[in-house]
Amino acid sequence: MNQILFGLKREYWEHKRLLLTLPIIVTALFCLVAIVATWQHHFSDSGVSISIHPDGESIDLQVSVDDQDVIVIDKESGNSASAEPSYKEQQVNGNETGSQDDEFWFIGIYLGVAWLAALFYAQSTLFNDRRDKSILYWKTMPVSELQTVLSKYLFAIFGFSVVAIGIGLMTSIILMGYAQFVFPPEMLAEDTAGMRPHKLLVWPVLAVLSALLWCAPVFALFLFVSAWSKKMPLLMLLVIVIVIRLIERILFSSDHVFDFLSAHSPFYLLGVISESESSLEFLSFFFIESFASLVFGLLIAAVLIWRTAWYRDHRFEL
Amino acid sequence: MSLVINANGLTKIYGDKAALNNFSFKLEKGRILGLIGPNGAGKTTAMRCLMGMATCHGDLRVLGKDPVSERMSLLSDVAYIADTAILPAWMTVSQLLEYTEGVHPRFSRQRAIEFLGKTDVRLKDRISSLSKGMVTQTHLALAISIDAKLLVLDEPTLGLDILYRKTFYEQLLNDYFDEGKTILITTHQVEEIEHVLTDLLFIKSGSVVLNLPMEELSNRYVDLEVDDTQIDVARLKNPIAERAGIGARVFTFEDVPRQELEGLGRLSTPRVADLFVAKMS
Repeated sequence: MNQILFGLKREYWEHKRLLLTLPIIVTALFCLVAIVATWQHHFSDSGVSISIHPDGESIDLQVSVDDQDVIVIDKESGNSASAEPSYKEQQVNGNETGSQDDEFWFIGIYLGVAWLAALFYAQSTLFNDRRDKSILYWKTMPVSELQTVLSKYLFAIFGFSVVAIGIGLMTSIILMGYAQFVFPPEMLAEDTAGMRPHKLLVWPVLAVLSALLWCAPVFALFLFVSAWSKKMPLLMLLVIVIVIRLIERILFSSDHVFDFLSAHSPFYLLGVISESESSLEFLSFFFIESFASLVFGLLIAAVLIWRTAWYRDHRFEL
Repeated sequence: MSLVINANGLTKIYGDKAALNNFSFKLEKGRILGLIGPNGAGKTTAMRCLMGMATCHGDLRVLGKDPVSERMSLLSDVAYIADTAILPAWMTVSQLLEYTEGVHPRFSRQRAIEFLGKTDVRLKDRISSLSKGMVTQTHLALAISIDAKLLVLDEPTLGLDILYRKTFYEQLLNDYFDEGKTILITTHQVEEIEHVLTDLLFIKSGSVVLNLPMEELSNRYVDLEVDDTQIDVARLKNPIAERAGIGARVFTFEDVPRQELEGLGRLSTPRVADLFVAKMS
């Protein structure tokens, strides 16, 4: 256990910059939006705000060009249209403009970039220590290769997302405080633009815990390619996926492997969360409706992780 | 005497080339063995087999354990420096000590700090910012701060200047070695480790060419330095090697009684480097 904990610590030391960079960029963008919104509020009749239409149907971004006109942009099609007066009225009066999705979308952006970084990390981490030969040092420590691979797997899923969620939460608190300070109370929704801090934590925690199991085959595949590849693991990964997809299409006219990998990607998981109306619905989708796929994915992940450790044991030189 | 390493008939084949070919030797506790061979002789392969980092055919026990199936347990009792340039460059010295302390049950952080205190290496330094000599000192500090029964050093001073190399071996003997510990060293710089070795093992093409304690060296091998008049006589005694000396020819003999050679010229015990060349040629 100590070996895995110190393995996680070692990964944190090595990838601290990668862990922090993307969430901080997202925070900077949110802050920029907040500053633009403040400027619009104080110095212009126009305004920009991001919100979800109360009908729950697909409106993401809303731009009020002056205090009379509101343009809404359809999330699905990207088309713009004038909002209905009742909606505009709700905005102006500071009534409920958010839904349960507000909490998720805010922190979901952080999770999305965290998992993007995590996948990048997973495809390179076991390759990099072979390239710089530091694997020879790690191998002199009483730590098994399976422990090493498991600590990297856990770090990919937990490390990046926990840091991103932490930064996201801090950002939300700062932005809410900023909004309270800058905007008049009548402009703020009852619980500050629909975001409820306690709920900010519920979905990310569910997402990360679910990813540990549901996304296991994808992260295991990335780690496997990282351990197996003799050069350019990212390119090898793409080649493997494309070749398997082509072979399956030519021989069986199907796309099961690619569909399986897509469905077990963390971004698919984020999509399921966005469409779930409750955490119970979300959990039942993964652990009841898709139980067979979950178990199959875990089996694939176990085989890949075992094979990754085997490569680390037997073929560790480039 | 308890055996620290017992290797019998080790064979390791890469493709159609045997890296180890029926390689056998024994090493007892409290000894310092020099494993010496030319490039590609199989030294590193042998080291990796001993450390369980590579599998091989044959019977191998290190500290009574199978290096492959009991590797984790073995690594708790062994300190191994594989090369001079393998410490992770992104780490600071302090992180390196913290990690090693966290995963190695026999590592003493305090001892490492004391050792590093005698060098120019600072705890906050990143490995990538250290000179090659300082990296080696850091690695040595890690290795000797492990209360290991066996220390394995694979080309520990490769690429270092002579001052660092001299300091390295002095520190190894003064700060680490005692009768309860055993050291196995491979190196090309034979002259520098000659005085620290208790045992000598020459390897060529994966096979043992010479395996003897240093105290037997003078009994079994002799150098004969002769002038031009005695060259033909010396050659008739079947020397294993012949080389040019200063104004003379030097012949190396194996298992030839010194009495037979006395009178032909000046006798001396060969240097390890000369013996190495003689056995490899």
